[in-house]
Amino acid sequence: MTVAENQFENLRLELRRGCLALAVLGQLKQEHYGYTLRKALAGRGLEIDESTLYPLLRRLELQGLLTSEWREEEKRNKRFYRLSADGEGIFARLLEEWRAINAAIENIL
Amino acid sequence: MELLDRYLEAVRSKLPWERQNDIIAELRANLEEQLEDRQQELGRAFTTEEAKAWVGHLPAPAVMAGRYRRQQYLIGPGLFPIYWMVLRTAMLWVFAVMVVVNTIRAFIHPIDAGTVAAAIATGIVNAAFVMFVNAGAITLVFAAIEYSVLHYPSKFPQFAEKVCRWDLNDLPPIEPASRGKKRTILHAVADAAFHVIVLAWLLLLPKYPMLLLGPGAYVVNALPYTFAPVIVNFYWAVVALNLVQVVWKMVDLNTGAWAGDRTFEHFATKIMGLVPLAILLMAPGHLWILLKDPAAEFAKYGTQLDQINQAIYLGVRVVLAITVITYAVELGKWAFARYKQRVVSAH
Repeated sequence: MTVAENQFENLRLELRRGCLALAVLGQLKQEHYGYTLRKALAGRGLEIDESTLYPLLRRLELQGLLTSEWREEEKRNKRFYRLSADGEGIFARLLEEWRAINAAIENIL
Repeated sequence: MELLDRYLEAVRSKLPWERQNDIIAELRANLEEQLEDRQQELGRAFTTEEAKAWVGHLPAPAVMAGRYRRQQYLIGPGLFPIYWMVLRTAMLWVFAVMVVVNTIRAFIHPIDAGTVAAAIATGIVNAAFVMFVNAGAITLVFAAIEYSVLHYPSKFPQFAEKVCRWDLNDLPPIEPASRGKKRTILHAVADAAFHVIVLAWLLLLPKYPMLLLGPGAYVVNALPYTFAPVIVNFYWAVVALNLVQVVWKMVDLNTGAWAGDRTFEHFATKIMGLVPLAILLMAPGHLWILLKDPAAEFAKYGTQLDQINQAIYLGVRVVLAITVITYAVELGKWAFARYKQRVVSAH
């Protein structure tokens, strides 16, 4: 990787990092487990690999933004996630912030 | 699939022990479903090679496990700027102290010419070791602070914020404009005149020692001591140095070079100033003071004379060491300022 490509990759990851939590919170207004969440996000244009998404879910849960429960589905135990009450509040504020930033970027460009 | 089981066990071994089962259970469910979907798309089970390729595309076990850990810093971003500032300042001071101590030690306990290189190398290694130990200690202290702030936040509320708090009254004043003032002809003439006066004073000293010692010259004259020949050499070296400076300044005044860059003259003069000190240091037998009548007075004043010469020897070495260090630091500062100027103008 050239220096320029490396620089772009670092900045791209930084840009994505901020957006992923918002995307995950947004998608979890409906209940999902890890794999279906990944498929749903990919279906809407946001590919996230397993080593990023699954730990992110745990982190958001530890922060109190998600709740989870183990349930058996199709003879397999799965951990289902959805937004908590705090998570809904935080998501709404983050979404507002995102829209403000988006509008500002549009103005600049 | 055996490969997937082995992959999950590899991830498990790197997870925090209290959450291993829970995380692996979730990961297994998600990866097995992913695998089933992929096989459904193919309409058959994976071959051995396909299975290897599929497991191979998963993130490395250490990476997968690592992302389940809380983000940990030895010294976090809040504290790091303070840590870096303290570390740099401490290293500068440690280095400066080591240089001064080793240089003075070298002069107090002179080393043979053949082992100078070895002594310098040993000094550098010792300095590096001391700096390493100090850097480690500072890092440990800040890591402990980071840990305490993270794990006991109620005891250290907004620690970094408090440390970074600043007061408008602490801001330093703007440096006075005089630094940028150019040298005037008046300065140059006064400087040259001063050196002529100093030279004249030096030349009058042998005949009129009271110009240096005042009325004490008569007291000194009455003592049983006299200067060794090396003092005369020292005296003439000082006179020669001043004469060179006077001539240089006269030439500068004549050619107009007084207004230009005098960095070379400044450093050349300082280096030439080491010559008289070196002459003093090389006094034969380390004798600067002698007895006027050794045969008659040695018994009475011999021990005192010895002590005087030893004190002068130590004093000369310390003065030479301090002078060399001061010149080296000044030269280093000048070189660094030139380097900074070059880098800044390149941008």
